Amino acid sequence: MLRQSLITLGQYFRLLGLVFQKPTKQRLFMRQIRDEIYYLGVNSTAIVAVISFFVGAAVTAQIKYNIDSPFMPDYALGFATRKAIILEFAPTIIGIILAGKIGSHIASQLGTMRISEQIDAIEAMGINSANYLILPKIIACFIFCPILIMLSIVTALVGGWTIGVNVAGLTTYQYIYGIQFEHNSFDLLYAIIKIVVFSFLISSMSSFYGYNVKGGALEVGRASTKAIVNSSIAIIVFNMVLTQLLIA
Amino acid sequence: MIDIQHVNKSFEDKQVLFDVSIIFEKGVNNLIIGQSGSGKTVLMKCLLGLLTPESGKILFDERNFVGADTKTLHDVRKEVGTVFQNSALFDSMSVLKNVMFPLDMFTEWNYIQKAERAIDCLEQVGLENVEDKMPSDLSGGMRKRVAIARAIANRPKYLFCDEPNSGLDPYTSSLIDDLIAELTYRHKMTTVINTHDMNSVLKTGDRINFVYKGHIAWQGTSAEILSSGSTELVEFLESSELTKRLLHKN
Ligand SMILES: Nc1ncnc2c1ncn2[C@@H]1O[C@H](COP(=O)(O)OP(=O)(O)OP(=O)(O)O)[C@@H](O)[C@H]1O
Ligand SMILES: [Mg+2]
Repeated sequence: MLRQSLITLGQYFRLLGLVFQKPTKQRLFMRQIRDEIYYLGVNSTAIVAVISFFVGAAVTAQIKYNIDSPFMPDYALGFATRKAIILEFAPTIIGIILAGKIGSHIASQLGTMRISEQIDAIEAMGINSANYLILPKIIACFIFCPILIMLSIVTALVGGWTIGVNVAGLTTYQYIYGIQFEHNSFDLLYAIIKIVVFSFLISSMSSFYGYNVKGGALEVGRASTKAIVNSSIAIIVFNMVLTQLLIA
Repeated sequence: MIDIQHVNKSFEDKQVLFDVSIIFEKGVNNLIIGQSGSGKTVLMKCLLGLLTPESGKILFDERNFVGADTKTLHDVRKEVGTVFQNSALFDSMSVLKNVMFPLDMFTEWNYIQKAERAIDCLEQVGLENVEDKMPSDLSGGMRKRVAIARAIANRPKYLFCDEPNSGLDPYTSSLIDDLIAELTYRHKMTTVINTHDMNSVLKTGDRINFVYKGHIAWQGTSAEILSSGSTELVEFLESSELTKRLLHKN
């Protein structure tokens, strides 16, 4: 079991070694990144926005019902919502959603290419297939994940505002004052660092599972599941580690 | 010329190729024939370096390919065009993009030049007005032809075809054979073809290598194949009505 995990880890790093090399054709590489940003990123905006909105609303409602007291200033609700969303909810939840959406997409795409010999065909032409197929995905994730996290934070705060104004009886001014209270730009950086790490875990791990599929369509499905489960676990573990490192 | 010397290949505990030695000459059609499961595809994948033999040498015009560093591997492969058994077209790209792919990767041509070459190659395999179709919209035979067009797009020195006419009707199949043979002679390519189509064997088999359970059981030309004297080969030829009749006429 442990031995097998170490072997898998070794194969993972060896694949990364192949991935991080100079692309064969620079211009083509740029075009690929652009396409991947579209397929992986732009297509994820709707789901990120919807989920963030409702998570933001739920977080605000929880804070309101659980820690509401006459001693709490009006701006506390907005402030607590902001902290919770930027520091934990947005990075982790978006990480997990992307693990599901992007992870399964990448793993099944590469897995299908593997079993239908398309990866062999690329290799047979003298092209480093790992580099050609995987590097654009990783870079695209680096570029759009910080944008997605911003989108997520904004929509979650809007979700919180909906609850704050309609249910908790705040005015818009009080809520906005709350979310601006003791503004700390490190919090945002913190969220971005987290999502960048998560996006690397998602794109590289699901590429690893897809790229190494052996067998048929059934194995592609299995690789896709493995990619989602394992990158979600990795995200949760790294979230804890990063929280310790960055806060301490 | 490709010189294969004493190649052995196994998977886990099952040996697939046994001491295989063949010379594939330049400018002629080199055929590998044999039953399903005899190891033809495995041999071709060894030639491409997609599988690594446990022992033996594969020399591409003096350059040893077995255990070569990544750079040599890629340099040799750039000179190879390959048609895979199940076509292996890129299903996210249109037919035109598929054929242009090797040109995109290895030439500095502009779009017009690449598209012209690609369309020319498609015409050579008898395909017209399919440039904008996706591979999933084509029949199996058409996909095969696109795969051949892609393989020859960058004018390779070596051409490998794994069953180029399986799944094609006899007419198209014969066209493909002629096409590969003609390209081979015209461009002086070293062509290696896996096949169990007896028609192509008799028609285009300049050099024939018969693989039986991973061993090279017979080597010769299409003129000699009917009088080989090899029991395994005769048994194999008898399974085809065409060659069976020819055998018994002799
Ligand atoms: N990746 C692999 N792992 C294990 N065994 C394999 C692998 N690839 C091929 N084999 C085995 O090697 C043997 C030869 O297979 P190969 O694909 O070369 O046959 P073939 O001559 O190309 O047959 P066909 O005419 O059906 O294409 C088969 O018994 C097959 O099971
Ligand atoms: Mg085969």
